Amino acid sequence: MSKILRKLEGMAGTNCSALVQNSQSLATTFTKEESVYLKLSLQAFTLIFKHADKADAEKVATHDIAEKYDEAHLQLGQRRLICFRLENNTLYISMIGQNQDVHKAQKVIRGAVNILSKVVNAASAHPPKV
Amino acid sequence: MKSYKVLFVGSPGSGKTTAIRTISDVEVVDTDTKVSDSTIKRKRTTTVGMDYGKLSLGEDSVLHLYGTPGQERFKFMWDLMVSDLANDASALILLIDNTRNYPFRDIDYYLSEFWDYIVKRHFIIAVTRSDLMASPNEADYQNYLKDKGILAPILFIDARKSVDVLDLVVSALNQESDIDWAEVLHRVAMTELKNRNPDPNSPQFEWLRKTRDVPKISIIEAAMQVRGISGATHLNKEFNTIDTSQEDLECNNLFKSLAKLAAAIKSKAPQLEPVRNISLHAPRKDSVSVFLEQDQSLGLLTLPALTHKQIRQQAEDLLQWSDNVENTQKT
Repeated sequence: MSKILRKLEGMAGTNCSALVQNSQSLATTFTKEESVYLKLSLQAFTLIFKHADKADAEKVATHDIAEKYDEAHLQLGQRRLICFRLENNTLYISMIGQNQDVHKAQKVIRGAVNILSKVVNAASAHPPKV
Repeated sequence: MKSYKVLFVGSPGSGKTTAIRTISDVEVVDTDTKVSDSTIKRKRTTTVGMDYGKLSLGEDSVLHLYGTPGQERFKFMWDLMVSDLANDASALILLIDNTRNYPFRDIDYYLSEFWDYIVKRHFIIAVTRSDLMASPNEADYQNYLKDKGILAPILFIDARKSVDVLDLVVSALNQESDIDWAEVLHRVAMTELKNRNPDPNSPQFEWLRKTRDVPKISIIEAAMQVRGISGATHLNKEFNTIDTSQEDLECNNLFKSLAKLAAAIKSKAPQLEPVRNISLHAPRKDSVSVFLEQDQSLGLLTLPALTHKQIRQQAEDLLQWSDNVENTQKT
């Protein structure tokens, strides 16, 4: 699975990425030094989507809101963490440097969301034998 | 004929066009147009292409003065000028508007953008509008550059005064010993005197009308004049609403929640750099973004077609000019 993440990083221009399901890492290319960003952003993105869903839920009564926010960004100094919400409580989190093309990363990752979901579903259906 | 070139860069409203106009022998070629974005808070017109002026330095030498457009969205012009028109310039003069909320951030930004260009040329920092805002002072700027390991002259100038602008040019070309600066200074000063034309229909008065101060408007009013922004909320240090265009309570609560979350991250992980921005996106839904400074935050609701870069540029400009910041917090 890490191979798929590396390929996507190459196309999106991101530095590293991870697939996280129910707060458990399914695959990651974050190094040990960078793992602090993954851990922190995972907690932050979970809360960010929670706040967004709460705001949407409060609006539902008066507005027609079909779509949920599925993408969140967190800029920490020179680093930007981008998170996409996939199916089944799964998040795809990637990190990008300040001078990288955020717009390109957004487009490439969004285009790959369905593939990432399929990869996660396949991995969940056939967990590796221990 | 020996020719020299100097390139002026700086944030919108820092005085690039004015400085060039002040000492140019010829009518300045400018590409000023009516402001259409957050710059509206400060000035009526802004440069969209480039400024060009010329100053004779004697019988056989001339100085070409180039000015970049201030707004980041015209960055392609910066690249063009650096790689072509002003590629052989002797110096880069960075104008810093002292009334902006975070002038040191402007220094960082332009150093990063023009670093490859700066290292091969003379680099001078000219601080403008210090008559309106005295802090940071010269010592603050010197200490800041010292901390960054950069050695550059820092001159506090009034871009409307030819003597001040000529000081910059002298500093930029100080290695040229064959220029009679006393003669140039005399000529420029005489031209300035002559140009003090009392005729209200003169071109000078037209320029004054164009660039006179505009009545201040709030950060929210300025934000709402930007194409693509559909809502804005300005929060103070305690995350209380200073001003908002939003009647939508849920959206305002979301801005506040995200701003508070950023503060919580800072206290949880003080070893990391602070959170500058949190945003939420969806393909067919307005994006929610919160931009954070140590003393204020700005929440923006923007159309999904607006790129993150466009949103960030507008937000950073608006926060640089908001009136909520204490004078002591200018870093």
